[in-house]
Amino acid sequence: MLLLSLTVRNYRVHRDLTVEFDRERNLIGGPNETGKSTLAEAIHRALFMRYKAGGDLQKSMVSDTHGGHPEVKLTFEAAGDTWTIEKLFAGSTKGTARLSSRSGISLQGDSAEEKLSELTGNTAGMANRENDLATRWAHLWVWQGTAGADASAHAIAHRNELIQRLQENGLAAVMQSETDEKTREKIRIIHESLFTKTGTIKTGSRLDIATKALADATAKLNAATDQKARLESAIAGQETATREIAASEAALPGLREQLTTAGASLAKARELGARLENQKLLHSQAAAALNDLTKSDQQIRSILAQAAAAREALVPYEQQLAVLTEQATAASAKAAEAKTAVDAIGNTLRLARQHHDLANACVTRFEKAAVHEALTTKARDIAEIERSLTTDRDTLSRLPAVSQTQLDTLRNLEARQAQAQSALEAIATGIELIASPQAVLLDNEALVPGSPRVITETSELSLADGTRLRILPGGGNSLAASRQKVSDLEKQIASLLSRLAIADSRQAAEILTRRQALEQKISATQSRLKDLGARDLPDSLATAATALAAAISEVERRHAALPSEQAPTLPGSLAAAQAWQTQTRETLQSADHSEQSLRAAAEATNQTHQEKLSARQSAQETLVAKRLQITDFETSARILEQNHGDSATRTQAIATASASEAAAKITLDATTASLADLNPDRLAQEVARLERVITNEQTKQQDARMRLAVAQNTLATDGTSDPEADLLQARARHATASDEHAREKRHADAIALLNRLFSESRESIGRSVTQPIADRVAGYLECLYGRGVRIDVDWNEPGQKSTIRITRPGTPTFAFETLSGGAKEQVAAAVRLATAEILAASHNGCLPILFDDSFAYSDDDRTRSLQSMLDLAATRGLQVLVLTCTPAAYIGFGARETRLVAENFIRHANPTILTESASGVPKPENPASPSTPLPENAESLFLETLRSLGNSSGNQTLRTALGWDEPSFDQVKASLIAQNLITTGRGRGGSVSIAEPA
Amino acid sequence: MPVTFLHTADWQLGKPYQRVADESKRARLQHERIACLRRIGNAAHEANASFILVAGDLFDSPSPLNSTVAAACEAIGAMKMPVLVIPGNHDHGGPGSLWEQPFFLREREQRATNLHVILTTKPFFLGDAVIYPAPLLRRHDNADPTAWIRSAFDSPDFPTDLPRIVLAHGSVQGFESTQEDEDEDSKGLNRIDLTRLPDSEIDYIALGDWHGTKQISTKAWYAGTPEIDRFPKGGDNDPGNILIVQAARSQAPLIEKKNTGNFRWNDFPYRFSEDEGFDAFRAALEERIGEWGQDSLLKLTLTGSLGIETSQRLVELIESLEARLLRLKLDDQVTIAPTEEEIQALANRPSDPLIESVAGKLIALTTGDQADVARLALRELHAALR
Repeated sequence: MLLLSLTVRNYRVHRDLTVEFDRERNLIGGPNETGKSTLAEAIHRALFMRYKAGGDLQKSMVSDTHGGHPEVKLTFEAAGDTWTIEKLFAGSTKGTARLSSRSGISLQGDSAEEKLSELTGNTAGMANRENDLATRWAHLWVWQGTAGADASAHAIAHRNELIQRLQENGLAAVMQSETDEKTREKIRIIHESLFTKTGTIKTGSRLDIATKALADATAKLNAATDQKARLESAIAGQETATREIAASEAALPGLREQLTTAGASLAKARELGARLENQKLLHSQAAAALNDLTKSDQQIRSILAQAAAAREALVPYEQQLAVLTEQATAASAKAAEAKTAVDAIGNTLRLARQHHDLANACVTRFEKAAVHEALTTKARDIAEIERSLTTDRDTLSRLPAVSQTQLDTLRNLEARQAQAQSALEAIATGIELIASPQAVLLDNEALVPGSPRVITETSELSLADGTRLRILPGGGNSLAASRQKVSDLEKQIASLLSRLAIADSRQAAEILTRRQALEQKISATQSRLKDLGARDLPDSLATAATALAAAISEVERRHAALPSEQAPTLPGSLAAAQAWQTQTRETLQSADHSEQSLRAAAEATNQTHQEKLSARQSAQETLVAKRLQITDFETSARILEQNHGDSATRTQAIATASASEAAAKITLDATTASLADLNPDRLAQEVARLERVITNEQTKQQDARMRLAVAQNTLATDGTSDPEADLLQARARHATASDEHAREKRHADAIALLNRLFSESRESIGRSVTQPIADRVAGYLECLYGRGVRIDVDWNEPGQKSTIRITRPGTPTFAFETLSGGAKEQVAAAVRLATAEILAASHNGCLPILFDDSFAYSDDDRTRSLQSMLDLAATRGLQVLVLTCTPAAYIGFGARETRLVAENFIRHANPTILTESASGVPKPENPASPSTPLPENAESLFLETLRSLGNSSGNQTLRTALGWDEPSFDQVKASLIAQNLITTGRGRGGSVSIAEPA
Repeated sequence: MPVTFLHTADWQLGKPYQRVADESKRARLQHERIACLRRIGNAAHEANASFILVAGDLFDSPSPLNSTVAAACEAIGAMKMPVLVIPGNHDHGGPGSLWEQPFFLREREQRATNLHVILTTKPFFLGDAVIYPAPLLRRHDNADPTAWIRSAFDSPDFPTDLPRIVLAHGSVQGFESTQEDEDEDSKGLNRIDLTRLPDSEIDYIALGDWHGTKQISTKAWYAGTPEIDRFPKGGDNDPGNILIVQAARSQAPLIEKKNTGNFRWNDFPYRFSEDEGFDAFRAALEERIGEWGQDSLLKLTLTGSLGIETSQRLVELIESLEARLLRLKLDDQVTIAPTEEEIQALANRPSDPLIESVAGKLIALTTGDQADVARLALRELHAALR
């Protein structure tokens, strides 16, 4: 189907407008409210709106400005003919429709519309209501503001047609029928009643109930089996216990008899054993007696032999003792001798020491006297020096107290006074009377020739004749100051001199020199006194006197201590004392040496004496011990003989005891042999064994009786249940439950299998339908995104949401919903083009597809890419119509362009194509430039006004409210749209709304 | 001096009929075993019997419910003639057995003094006959319980002119599979060797255990169970009777079989070869069961294969039978084999491509491991399409 031309009359803004269409590419441009959307609507309504339709639908088409009913005339090619449909939309009575073809067909009214529907493939018939109208060709007519909607929904609406087309194209697509769907739904419901979404068995489903019933039956069967086993075990237990009791009852008497026999034998053996013990005792006593006798005899003989031997061994010890006694006596004499010599030298030594000590004391005494004498002399010298020091101090104190500073001050003052004087003289006037016959008076004081005077102040010179001259010395005030200064200095000098009580500075210098000499001398004397120790001297002198007195008394004491006959004459001097000291020291040393050697000798002799004494003592002790041993032997032998008799008696007794022992041994051996024959150990074991066996038997019997009682108790029924029947019942129920479960399981498996096969088959059918569309969509999207783009379309049931996913090379897969506004428009357009392309096969390979300002979100680059997509669609046989308010952006599309201006004025973008205007007044060019200057806050004014109108308004209303001309309004509106602050909407003349925040 | 008595066995009172799922049907089956005792008593009186011999398995279990014991004693008491019983393998004597339980002893004392339970292996003197009992004192005994009887005639303590009757329970040579009950778990035990019994010393051998009435030799008979309790096996099985015996010393016994059974137990095997056979099967079944529905028990063994449609009809028929019959024991080995038409109807549906695809896959699966499931799935699919 191909659109050739359209004429609209009295249709909203259009009074009479004809548009010719290119067979492939059409661009209808023009600002807002020039009626682009109205043209799109006019084509659509010519094809699908019932000509008799009235009400709001019809009224909305009526022009505000032109009179008359809206008319649309559309010429198109379809079904191999060229057709013109003319409709007058004038309500149910006045409306007309006429369809004519080049081949001569001409139809009116309903017949015309019926044929028209056939030509357009519109099975739903003509629409009376806007809602119905919107569903016609919704996949081909992209109204303003709907471009971003998911286009696959439209494709689904045309699915059957699509499938038919795909099948005709040999694309092996099949589609499920209603029966398919119903059957599948039945299976799905059954499946849902059996399985959860995750594929597990649903609680409460038949299989679930069967499974639980089986588990329950299994548990009951187990319980019944257990109960049966318990009873059988009790029966077996009762039988076993009864058997055991009988067996032990049978065995016990025999065992008891055996025990009695064995017990008797054992008693006999025990009696023999007791007898044997007694005989053993008797024999051991006899043997012991014999042994005792033999032993004591041997002992006595042995002791006597030992005593004899000891006596023989005593002789050499006695001889040795005699020799040692003699040696000790000799050593004792020598020791006494040495002691006498030591005592004698001791007296000599003591006297020598006393003399030497006295000599030492004498030396000390003389030394102390010398020290005391020296100190006395020194005291006298010091007294002399101190007297001289006192004299010097007196002299110094009598001199004026001139210091170096004072002298310097005085000299300084004198120098300054001299300077001041010189200065005064330099500025003063001098006067000298050389010769005068008369007296010349200066200030009433006569001048004397040869005695010049210096005038330092205004003076009067009077001559005798009465002449008076006033002399004015130079210098002015300076003269007076100089004079004052000289006077001050002189006063200061005089004051200083008087204070020091001296005449002048020369005298002051002299006095200062003398003072300094004296002070030096005093200082030197003081140092000397200090050096001499003047301060400590009295103490030193007292100490020396005390020491001297002590030394004298020491000499006297030592002297007195000596015996008078041995007391020497004391020396008279230090030298004599020292000589005597040397002499006594030598005597003392000599005596000391002699004493030491004599003492050593005495110690040696004493040592020898002690050793000899010790040796003799030792020998004596040995001898005594030996003698005592002999005595012991003899005593022992005597005592033993007293007890055991003499040798003969003892021999007799030994013979008797030996005979008794032999007799006892014979008896003992006989009894031992008898006992061994009885084997008492074995008998005892036998008795123990029998006792044990009997006890065991009794225990076993008791145990068996107990088990018997327990088993009988278990077997005693109360008659309220029959375990046998219960088990049979449980088995039967288990078998039934098992069968039931298996049956339900098979059923569930069958349903699961069916459900899975339905899903798989449906999916594969769905894929075969969607794939050709997806391939075509991908072809279009390659224009936008480049090669390699892939698209997946999941086609769900009618009414369900379908999904489109786009995968571009190198990027993750995106779902349609997540795309940006621009991308949504483009992908949707691609889907529409692909769908249209397939459907076009039913319309001689061509269908018109219209985009009304559908790419508002696309940037310039993308719009360029879009053009190649649209171009591809045109190349593939679709008739593409693009309506845009920015025709310049579509230059690359290469379309026939029709540009609309306001008030139905039509201009030709392409001069080769003419479009007629039946009654239009040409308007000046450049209609888009604002005729009135816009305020600076135009945009905010726009937004405020829009908000005040409830955030949304028709363009006309808003523009009126603002009081702007259209170009101004459009300019601001475009800017706000570009900033995403407002969005455009549908409606007559278009509308704008405050944009929702993203 | 001939004596007339009743020979019966295997009453198996208290049998649980555990395979019968329906409570009321099970109760009917159980009750019928007690009701049968009245028929036995009537028969005994009609025959002027002196006593009744029960050759084992009076009760189904060694520990029957008190209610069963009480009902049994009441019914036996009503027989008003000596009733001699030996324990069989089901109600064997021995430790803890019901015969020792105080409740049984009390009930017998109060309501069935004519009941004699013989637990010892020694002759029992009845006045007009001597009974040589072979009671089973445990469920399974490898020893022949009649062994003692071989030498029991060496020094008879009773008048030698009275008929001598052996009363025993177990299998004899040639009846290996006596325990043919579906729940029995033992076979070939409690074997009785009749050939070792001194034939000339014995006048009748009253046997129990085999549930069909069966003559083993001139003198030896199985009475069978008086009320059928299981589906019979083999054509010569003849349950549901008692025997009225006239015995005399050194004479061949005279035996009269009398039917006492009430319920019908039917065994009906059938093989389907083609779907057309289904109607024939249905007709044959109708004929077999007839108007007996509520008193019939049916063992249905079905083999062969059916198409989907027909197999669904079979399912419905079985559902009906289960409800109508006293019991349906079903062994359904029928496989679902879609007919060519069914395959075509499912797998050749150009207008329903989804179903066509699924059915095609399922048909392919019917030859593989999942064949059973695939066939069932086909049936479900078929059902879903209706």
